Amino acid sequence: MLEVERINVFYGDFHVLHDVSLSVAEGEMVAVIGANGHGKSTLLKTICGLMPARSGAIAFRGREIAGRSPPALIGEGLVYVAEDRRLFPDMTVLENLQLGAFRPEARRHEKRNLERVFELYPRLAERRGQLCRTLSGGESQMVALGRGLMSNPTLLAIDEPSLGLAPNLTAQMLETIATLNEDGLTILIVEQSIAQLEGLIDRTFAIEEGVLRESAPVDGSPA
Amino acid sequence: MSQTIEILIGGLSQGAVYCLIAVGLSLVYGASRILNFAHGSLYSLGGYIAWALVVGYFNLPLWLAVVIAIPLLFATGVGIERLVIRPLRSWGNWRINTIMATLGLAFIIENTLQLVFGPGTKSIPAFIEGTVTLGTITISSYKLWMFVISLALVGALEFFLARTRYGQAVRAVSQDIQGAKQVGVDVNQVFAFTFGLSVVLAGLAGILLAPIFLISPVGGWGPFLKAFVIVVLGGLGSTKGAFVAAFVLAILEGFVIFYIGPNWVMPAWLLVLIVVLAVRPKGLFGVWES
Repeated sequence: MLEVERINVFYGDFHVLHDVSLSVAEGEMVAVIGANGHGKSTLLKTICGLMPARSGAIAFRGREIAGRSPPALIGEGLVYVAEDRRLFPDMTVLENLQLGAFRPEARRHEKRNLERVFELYPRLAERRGQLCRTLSGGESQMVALGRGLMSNPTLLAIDEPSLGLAPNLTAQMLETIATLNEDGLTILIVEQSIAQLEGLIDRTFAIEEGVLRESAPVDGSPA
Repeated sequence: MSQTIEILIGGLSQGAVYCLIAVGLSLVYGASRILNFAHGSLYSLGGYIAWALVVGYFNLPLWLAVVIAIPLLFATGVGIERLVIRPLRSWGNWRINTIMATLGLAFIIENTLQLVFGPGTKSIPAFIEGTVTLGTITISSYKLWMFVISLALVGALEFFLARTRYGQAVRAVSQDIQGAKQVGVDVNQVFAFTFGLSVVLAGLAGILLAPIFLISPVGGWGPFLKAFVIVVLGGLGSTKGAFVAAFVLAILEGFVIFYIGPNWVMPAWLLVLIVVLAVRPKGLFGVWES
């Protein structure tokens, strides 16, 4: 579904990603593990069109997408959920979710997706009228993931969902993501540590100083 | 007593128009962090477009002039955003650079208006004459309509921002640009759209005030400075703040003119501004970002 071929990404003169290649098949849940500052977020942002690659190719569902705008990519089903959530603080939970369905392609499925998000997170249904600046970290992450689902993704790229969450909340969040994957959503997830992802993911890549390598298959999962 | 009520009503009417000028300025700042110093000259441009269509050249009815002026003003705003603001954004220090650029643009617009229409003042006849009397209170019919029209326009803007999906996107851009990009909002389009909308609002205010204040090439500086004080008092970027501040200051203006004299309006406004900013540095409704 996603094919990344030898991309190189720079911040000014600083070379962040070196010849990174990666592929994600339909229905897979793939993790990229790496420490802070090694290029995990940059990789996701580049794939989702939020940062330009200086060279290399990215194909999504068989079509070259490098250089296409984020709105167009969201329309194709490639959706990014940021590590810092990027919620709209002075808007309600419902408005934040609705904005996930801003693109016309997603708007068509808005009602169904909203029901699904509320089913997944009844807490968000209760708090739909609450401003996002007043939410807890766990609730904010629910809105961020929910907003991503509202964009009607075929591949959801999730950047460190555990950031700032207590271990039990992280476990719940990752379980929800795994459930979404079981329901057929393809997932590319980035984390600092593999510990809490074990048993949930199909394949793992490790990123170190901008170089990506596929790790040995995780126990018990298909390689 | 009836004197006080008349001043109050006059203040409400004036406040509604100030609000119309100020919300546009605040809207653009909120969405794109651009302080548009050409806002006042675009207010004048609105007056001149209407004058040219109604009085100067075409003798059209006012309503038709307004219908023609709206797309012209919108296109002017979008054009300024695309040609003047957007190229500067990709450079460093764009906040200061765009202030300088829009200041320069104000002089260009002013001088162009002066070349085309001459330095003298112009006027558009009021579309309604006479007064309305309610008990012991008398108010000009035009000011009453000015109040109604301005309030309707500001109300429509608030409705758009609060209830429509594109209005939500405008607020999203003002609250978190990265977040807005991530949900697929075309941020540049929102910048251009809000700029166009703010020019329409300023231009319509220029048309509405033309029968009272007359139109002149430099006539926009007064309204711009007032709108600027209103926007800062209300909280930069907050249209709700601009709304409240416009009425508070316009009513104050009415009383200052009556009891002290028109020259004391600006000092009184600035005094209020200083006091409020001392207590609330971000203005009445300024909550986010610095």
